[in-house]
Amino acid sequence: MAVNSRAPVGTYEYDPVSGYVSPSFALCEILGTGTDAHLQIDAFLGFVHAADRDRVHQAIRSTDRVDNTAFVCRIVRPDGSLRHLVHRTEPIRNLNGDVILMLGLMFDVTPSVREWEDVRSVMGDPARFRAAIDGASVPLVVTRDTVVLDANQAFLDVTGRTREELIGQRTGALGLAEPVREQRLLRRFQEVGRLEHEPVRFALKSDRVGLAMVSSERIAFEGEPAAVSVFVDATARLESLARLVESEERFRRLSDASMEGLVISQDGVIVDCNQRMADMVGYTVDELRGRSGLSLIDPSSLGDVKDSLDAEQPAPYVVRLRHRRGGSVTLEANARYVLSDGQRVRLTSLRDLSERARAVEATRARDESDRMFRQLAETYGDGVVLIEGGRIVYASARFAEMLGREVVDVVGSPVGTFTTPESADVVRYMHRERLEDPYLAEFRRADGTTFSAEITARNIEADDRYLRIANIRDVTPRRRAEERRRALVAGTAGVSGVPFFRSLVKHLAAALQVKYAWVAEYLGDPPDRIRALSFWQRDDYGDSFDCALAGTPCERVLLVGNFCAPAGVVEMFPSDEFLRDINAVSYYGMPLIGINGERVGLLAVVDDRVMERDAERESILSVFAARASVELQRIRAEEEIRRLNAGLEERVALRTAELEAANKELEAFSYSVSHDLRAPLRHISGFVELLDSAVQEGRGGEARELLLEIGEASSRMATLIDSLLNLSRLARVELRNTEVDLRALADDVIAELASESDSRRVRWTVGEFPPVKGDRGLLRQVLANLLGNAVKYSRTREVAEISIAAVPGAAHEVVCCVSDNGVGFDMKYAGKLFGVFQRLHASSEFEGTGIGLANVHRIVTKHGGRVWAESSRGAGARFYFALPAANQLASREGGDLQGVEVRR
Amino acid sequence: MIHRVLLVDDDPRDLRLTELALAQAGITSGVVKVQGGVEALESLRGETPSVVLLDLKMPGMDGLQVLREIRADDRLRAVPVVVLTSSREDRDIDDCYAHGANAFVVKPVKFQEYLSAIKDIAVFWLGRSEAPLGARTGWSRM
Repeated sequence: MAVNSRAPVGTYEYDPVSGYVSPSFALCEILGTGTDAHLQIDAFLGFVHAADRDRVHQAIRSTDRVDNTAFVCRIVRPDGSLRHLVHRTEPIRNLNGDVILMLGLMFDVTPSVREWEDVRSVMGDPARFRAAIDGASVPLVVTRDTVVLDANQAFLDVTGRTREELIGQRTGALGLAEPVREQRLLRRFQEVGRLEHEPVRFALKSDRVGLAMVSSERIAFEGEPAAVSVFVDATARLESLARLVESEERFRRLSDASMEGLVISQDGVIVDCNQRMADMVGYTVDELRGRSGLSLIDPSSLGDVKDSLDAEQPAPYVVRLRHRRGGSVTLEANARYVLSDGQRVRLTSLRDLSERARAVEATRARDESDRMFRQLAETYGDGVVLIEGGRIVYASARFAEMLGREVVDVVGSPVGTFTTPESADVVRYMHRERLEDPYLAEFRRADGTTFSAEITARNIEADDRYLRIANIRDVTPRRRAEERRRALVAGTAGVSGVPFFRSLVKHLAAALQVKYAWVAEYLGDPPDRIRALSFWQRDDYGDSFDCALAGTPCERVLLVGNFCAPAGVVEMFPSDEFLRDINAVSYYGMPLIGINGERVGLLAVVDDRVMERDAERESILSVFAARASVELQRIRAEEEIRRLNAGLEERVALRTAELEAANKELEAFSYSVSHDLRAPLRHISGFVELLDSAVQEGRGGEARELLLEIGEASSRMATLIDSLLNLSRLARVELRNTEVDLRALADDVIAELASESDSRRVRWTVGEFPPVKGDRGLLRQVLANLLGNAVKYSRTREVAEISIAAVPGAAHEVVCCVSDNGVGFDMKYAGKLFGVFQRLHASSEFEGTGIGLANVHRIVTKHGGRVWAESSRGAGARFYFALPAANQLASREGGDLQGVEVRR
Repeated sequence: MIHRVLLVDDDPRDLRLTELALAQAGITSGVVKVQGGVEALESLRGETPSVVLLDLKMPGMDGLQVLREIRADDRLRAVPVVVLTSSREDRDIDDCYAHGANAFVVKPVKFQEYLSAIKDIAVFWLGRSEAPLGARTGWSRM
């Protein structure tokens, strides 16, 4: 240990477990005692001056580095002499951070203390004080309020500065004390008037940090109060402790015969390591010294290492190191920093994780595969056993179940225990080397019954053991049926709708070994037909059928529920041709149940052999009848939803069209109203004015004529308003659809018109009409309007010829035509004909409000029909309207005439 | 100055009222009345009027069509056409101006307003501001 000190440095080790203190030779010398190394702590503390004993004791027992600052203590040597020693402790910790050893350091500063006491003793005499300062070998400095006033040569030597650099400067600025610490000490000094052996860090000229024990006293300096302080430099000697700690730790760890690798590194360079470390990465210790630690680290763990370097507290981390021969080793590392020569070095311990990890991983993998094997074996439909040395070492629960025994009763028994004597060969089979062929053996259950099973065995090698694994499959019919049921379940799983029904009948036929199977739904209310949703015959899907229900076993199912005819089904249902055609012998059907418990369909199987009604069949059928019921319900619900949706869309579209039409009509309406309602008012206003002057001027005849005009205008207004009201009522009225005989309706209207216009000659022709669907009252309005118009616009004719008849049209509608030989209209204006207040003739020529045809249009459209007209001026007019036929099928022959053009 | 005014309206009562109003404005002669679009075009084939007072909504050929025919005819292109109608529709107003109407006048319901509207038309297109003395006579003949 290269400790550069003027005074001897003594050390000791304290073992917190045993409570013993082991002082070094140097310490023994300082203490003035013999060298019998081990002392109980109390005996050790016996050397310490009673006043300082507690503090020393505390420092030794302290496990926290923060608290173990250096301090000066006094010891009393056996010869009675008093020595002043600087004391400091440093704990040595293991990887877990536990203090395993406390290192103590003591060095004698008695000469410095004596010298300081000498200086103090002459403080009252400035001349002597000055001389004492200058002559002292201890560093002394005079300050006032932290400003340096003077310092001796020793102080300059220690701080490495010139007098000029110091005088007039603040101690803080000079780095002579840490600012916070200085303030605290200054306060203490001002309160108490002195300081005694206070440890202070200070900046050495070489940028290193020194440590001194500082004592201060008040003095008068050049007539003013000031402080004189002594710096007992402990830097070098305290550093020796860090080095000691390091070497001690190093010694302890490197010499440890543990499995841990140890590395001391500084600035990333390996300073030293132990053999174990070298072995782990395939190098020698010498090869690693001076090498970059980073070069050993696998790039994948650089991040973790860096985190650890930055970490405040040491914590274990995992690092992968590159091995010299390639590959990497995974290590658990723990690192901490220690002070060495005032510099931080990193002490890392590493534990090989990969070996342990490999072992753990291998165990885990074995456990996992074992677990998987067991799980597989336990869920497998066949029994599984493992045989070693002729004995069963493992049996699956399924195998035990097959035998009617508990697993524990099976395991450990010789292989032949559970077979019948006739099948004793099984033992030999099990011992054969080649086991390719299955072996059929008879097993005996616990209850004495037997069953046949097929054994398939293989040799396996696992964990250096030679085992045979045998698969035991129950091949009795019951077992086969179960298998088939499983196949059925599997076959119908995950499908729905028609694919489900198809899969169902196919697998059902296979499971029950029948030739025919079908799923069908009942049609009609009450049901009178069935329609197959899917049908299996012999080896393939048959055509879906739709047939009458009466006299069939399917009807019986509808009426009574489950129905089975084990034989002679054709004789039971002689009218069922289908059964006869396929030479059916047996029948088994079960109803499918609807959402309200009603029978909505059935699941049926038919065979050309006798079919007993046994539990096996019944359970399979009932399970799948239930499943099919749900499926059918689901399909029907879906259809219903689809239908409702489609209906909804249709209704929305219809309603939208209606609203659009209503909007358009409203627009045209308000336009027309503004025109037509204003005119009579204007006339009334105008003629009242004229009347006024006519009366004033005594023109009675003219006045009378004007009054008539005014009256007429107001009645025209009233008519307009009535018509408008009628029209708006029509917009709101609900259709009361019935079957309407248009001929009867036409006759009725004509009779009424004839009574109103009896003075004129009209030749009426009324044709035949197919029945139409519609509101009788509204359709009467249509006829009244059209026939009324015909009368009106043909009144200029000598003989009006008016006819109404059905004409050929599309299949789904009845087209009617009202024709006359009247004035007609210009086809140019045909588009205006059915609008509100639209007139093609001057109202003076033909009276009317211009609302009648708008009414016709509205009523026919409301019936889902259409209306149009054709004419030429002076050549009569033909008005057509088409209404939906009452019975669309009945008028099918009309479809041939669909192409006939009825419009010009 | 001889004026010739063509009145086009399907309603004879409106024709009568317009004629009266014109007489009040001093136009007592040269007024031709027709009751429809076709008749209007027929009349226009004869002498060219000083102004046409044209109703819009008429059975058969409507006023807008008449206007279009007038504006398409080289001889009639410059004839002032005043649309006189019950309609207040923006669409009608736009259409009429777009097809070259000189004015769009909504027929007032009150007769006094009707009179002043016709008077304005007479002043503007026929240069008459005062009814001549004979106006009353014309009035009384109605």
